[in-house]
Amino acid sequence: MSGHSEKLALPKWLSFLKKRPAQEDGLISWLTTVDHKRIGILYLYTSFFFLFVGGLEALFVRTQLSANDLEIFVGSTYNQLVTMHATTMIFLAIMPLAAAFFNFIIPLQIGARDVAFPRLNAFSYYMYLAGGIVLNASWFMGGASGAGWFAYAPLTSSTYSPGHGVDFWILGLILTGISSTVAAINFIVTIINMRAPGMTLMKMPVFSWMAFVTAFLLAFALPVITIALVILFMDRNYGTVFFEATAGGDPILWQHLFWVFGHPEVYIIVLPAFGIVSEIIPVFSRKPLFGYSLVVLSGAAIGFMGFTVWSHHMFAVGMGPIVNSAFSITTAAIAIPTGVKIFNWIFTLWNGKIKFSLPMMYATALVFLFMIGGFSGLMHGAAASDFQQHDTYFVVAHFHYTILGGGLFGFLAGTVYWLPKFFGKMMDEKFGKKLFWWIFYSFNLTFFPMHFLGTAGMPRRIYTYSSEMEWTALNGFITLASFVLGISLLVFFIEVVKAVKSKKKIGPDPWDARTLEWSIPSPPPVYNFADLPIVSKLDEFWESKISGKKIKMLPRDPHGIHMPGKSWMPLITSFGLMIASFGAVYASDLRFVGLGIFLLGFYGWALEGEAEYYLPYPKKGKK
Amino acid sequence: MFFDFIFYLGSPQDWLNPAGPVASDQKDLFLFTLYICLAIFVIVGGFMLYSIIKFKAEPGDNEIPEQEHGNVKLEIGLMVVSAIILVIIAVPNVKLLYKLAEPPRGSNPLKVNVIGHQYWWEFEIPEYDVLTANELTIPTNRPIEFNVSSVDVIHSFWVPRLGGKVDAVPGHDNYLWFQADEEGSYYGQCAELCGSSHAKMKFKVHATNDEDFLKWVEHEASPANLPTTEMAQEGKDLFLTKMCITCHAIKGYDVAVGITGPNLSHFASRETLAGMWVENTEENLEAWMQDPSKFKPDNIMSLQGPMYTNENSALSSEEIRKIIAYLKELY
Repeated sequence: MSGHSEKLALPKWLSFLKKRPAQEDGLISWLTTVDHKRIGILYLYTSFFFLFVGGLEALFVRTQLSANDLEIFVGSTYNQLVTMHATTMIFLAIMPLAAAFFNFIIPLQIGARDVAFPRLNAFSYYMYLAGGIVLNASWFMGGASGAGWFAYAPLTSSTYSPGHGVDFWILGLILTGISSTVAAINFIVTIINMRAPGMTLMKMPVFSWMAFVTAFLLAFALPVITIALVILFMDRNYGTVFFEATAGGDPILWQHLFWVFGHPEVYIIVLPAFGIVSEIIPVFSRKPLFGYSLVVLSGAAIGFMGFTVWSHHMFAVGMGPIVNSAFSITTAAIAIPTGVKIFNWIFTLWNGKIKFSLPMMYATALVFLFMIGGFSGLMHGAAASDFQQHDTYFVVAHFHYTILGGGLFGFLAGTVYWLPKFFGKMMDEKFGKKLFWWIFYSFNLTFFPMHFLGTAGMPRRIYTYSSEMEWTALNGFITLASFVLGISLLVFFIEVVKAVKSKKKIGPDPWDARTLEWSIPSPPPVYNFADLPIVSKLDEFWESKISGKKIKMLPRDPHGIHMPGKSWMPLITSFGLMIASFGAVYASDLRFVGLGIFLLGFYGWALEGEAEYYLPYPKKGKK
Repeated sequence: MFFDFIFYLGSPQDWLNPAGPVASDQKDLFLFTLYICLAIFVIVGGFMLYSIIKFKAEPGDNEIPEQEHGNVKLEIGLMVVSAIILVIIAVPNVKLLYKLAEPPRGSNPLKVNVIGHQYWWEFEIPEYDVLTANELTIPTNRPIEFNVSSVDVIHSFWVPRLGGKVDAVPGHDNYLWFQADEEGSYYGQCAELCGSSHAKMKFKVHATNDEDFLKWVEHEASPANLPTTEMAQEGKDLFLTKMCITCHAIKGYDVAVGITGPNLSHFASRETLAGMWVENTEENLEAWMQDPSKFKPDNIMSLQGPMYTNENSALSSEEIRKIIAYLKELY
C-alpha cells in the first residue's frame, strides 16, 4: 500500500492533503470523525433536535384545530406547517433515529471494528444534516412547501405553488435521499463482509437482520423518489411537462412514483423498530427469540411485499375495480408476515421470566400499539369501504399508530436499552417508568379519538371547520392530550441528557443481554473489540455466559489494532452540495461555487494521504 | 348496531349514518372488518397480556427458563389461520368493489358532471341544461352517475352520508355513483389537499322528490331575472364595467359568459356563500365582496380580480351595495 501512494506523488501545492487530521478530542475531532459510534451519537442528537422541531410544528397544527373557526395558522401557513411536520418527522427525525442505532450498534453486534466505508459513513451524516438545513431554510427564505408531504402534482407546479418552497423541499429531500442511499450501501457491504468469523447470516442478531433488509429497501426505493423529485424540479424550473395534464403529461404518474417509494418507506421506518423489539423481548424474558428464522424470513418477506402494495394509497384516484381488488389483496397479504412477528414475540414471552425494565415496557407497548395500527391498516386495505375512510382522520390515526406506535416507540425502547452501551450511563428507571405511562396514555388519548373524527367525516389537512360539524369537542380534547404528549416526550429527552451527564457509571452488561455488543466495555473503546470474537452460535455472548466458556478470539495482529483515519472531506463534499442546492433553488451562480467545493472535496477524498494507524492492544484480561 | 354509539358524533358528515345504498354497503363492510379485527385484537392482545402477567418474574428470581427455540407446526398453523381470515375479508370487499363500479341494472341513472375548481365545485346536468355551483339538487331513489374531473389541481369529491369519494383529477374522467334514499340536505367536502382554502371547499347535495327536482332543474335552466329596481340595474352595469363578467356567467346576460368562477344565474337561490361557510345574506355577501380572501385564503377572485389587485378598479361600498342589489334579484 505505501509504495502505491509514493508513485502517486502529489504536486507540492497539494501536499497539505497528505496530512490527515488526528485530533482525539474537541470540536475538530468530532467534525472529522469517522468512528461509527461517534457518527451514531451525532445522528441521535440531530434526530432528537428535528423531533423537537417536528413536534413543535405538530403542536402549532393542533393549536389551530383546537376549536372551530380559529384563525391562528390559516390557509397556506397551515399547509406549510402540516407539510413540514410530516417531512421533518419522517425524513429528519424517525429515519435518522434508525440510522443512529444502525451506526452505533451494527458493527458491535456483528463483531466488527467499524463499517466498511468509514468516510462514506461520515458523508451520510453530513448529507442528512445538509438536507435538514435546506428543508428548514425555506421557512426563512419565503416560506416552506405547502403541498403536503406526498406533494401531489399538479399542486406542486410553478403555477399552483409559486415561490421557492417546493424547490427547497425537492432539494432537501434529494440531499437526505443521497444520505440514505449511501448509508444503505455502506450497511449492506458492512453486513455482508464484516461479520465476525463464524457468524453466518442465520446466526446474526435480528436487529442487524432488520437493518440489512431495511438497507435493501432504501437502496431500491430511494432511487425512485429521487428521480421523481428531479423531474418535478425540471417541470417547475426547466419547462418540462411530465405531470402537466394540459400538455399531455399525467399527474397520476407522480402518485405512482411517489408511493412506489412511499410505501416501502413505511417498512423502512418500522422494520428497524421491529428489530429492536426482537432484541429486547428475548433479553427481558431470558429466553431466545421464538422462531428466529421465521422472524428473519418474515422481515424479508415484509420487505419484498412492501413493494407490491403502493396503489392502496390511491384507491380513490379512479383505477377501477380490477386494480383496486389486486392491491386490496396484496395489502391484506402483508398481514401474514406481520402476524408471524407478533405471534413470535408473544411466544417468546410465554414461559419466560419476564422482567419489566424500562426497555421492555416500551417494547411491549409497541406490540400493542402496532397491532392497533396494523388492524386499522387491514381495514384500509378493504378498498370498497376505504373510499369512505380515505383522506380522513381515520387515516391520520392509523399512520400515527404505525409510525409513532410502531416506529417511535421502538426507537424510544432502543434509546433506553442501548443508552448504557452508547454512554455507559443508565436512565433513571423509577422516574422513567412513570414517564413511560405519561407518554403511553397521552399518545393514545391523542391519536385514538382521531378514529372517531374520521368516521364523523373530518378530512385530513383542513385548517378549520365549522361548529355545525360537531368536531369541536373532540378536537379540543385531542389538542390537550397532544400537548401532554409533547411535554412528556420533551421530558424524555431531558432525561436522556441528564443520564448522559450523570456521574454514575454502569457496567458492560446491565441487562444480562444476549448479543456481542454487551461483551465489550461501556462505552466501547474506539476500536470496539480488542480481540475479534469467533462466533459459533446465535446469541454467542449469552451462550458463553450460561456455559461459563469464554468466547474464542482471533489471534492478535502483531502490528496492533488497525484503525481508519479521520478526514475533513466528508464535511467538505456535503457542504459543497448544500451550497449547490441553495444555488439551484435560485438558479444562481452559487450552484457552480457549490459544485466546485464538492469537486475539491471529492478530489481531496481520493488524493488525501493514508491515515490508517495502529493502536496498541490493551493488556489481556483488563476490560 | 352495538358500536354505533361509540363512533357517532352527530356530524352531518358522519358516514356511519348512511342515507343511501352505497354508503350503507360501505358501512356494513367497514363494520364487518372492524368486528373481525376487534375479535383478533382481543384474542391476540389478551393472550399477550396474559403472558405478561403470568410469566412476570418475581423480584430476585434469577432462574433461567427453558430455552425453547420455536415450533414450526404452530407457526404454519397460525399463518394458515391468518390467510383464511384475510380471504374472509377479501370476498365481500371484492364483491362490493364490483358493485360500486356501476349502478344496478335496469335503473335509470341521472348523469351529472362534476368539475373541481380551486376552491368550489361546478355541477352540470347536461340532460336538463343545468349549470350551477356548490349546491346540487338530485332526485331521491334514483342512482346518480357522476363524471368527475378538475380544471386545476387534484380535488376529491365526497358526500359522506351518500357514498365514498373519488378524486377529481385534471385530464381524467373519474366515475362515481350513489343514490339518496331519503329527502334531505347532505354535506359534501373536498377530501384532497388542493391549496390554501382546501378546508373551505364544501358543498351540499339536496335530495328531493321527482316533482321538486323537476321544478328545480326548470328554474336552474331558465334565464336569469332582469333587474327590477334602479339600484339593481346599476349593479348589473357595474357587473360589466368592473369586469365581473370575465369570470362569472349569467344566463341571458349575453356579455357575462366567464367560466373561471361560479355561474351566478340563480345565485340568490343558493343557501350559502363562500364554500358553505356562511349563510347567503346581504351582510355576509357584502363582507365577502369587501375581502374574499378573509373567507377563502388565496381564492382566485382575490388573487386575480382587478377590483382586488388594482387600486383604480377597487369597489366602493356604494358600488358593492349596488352589485349586491343585482345579485339578490338573481333568484
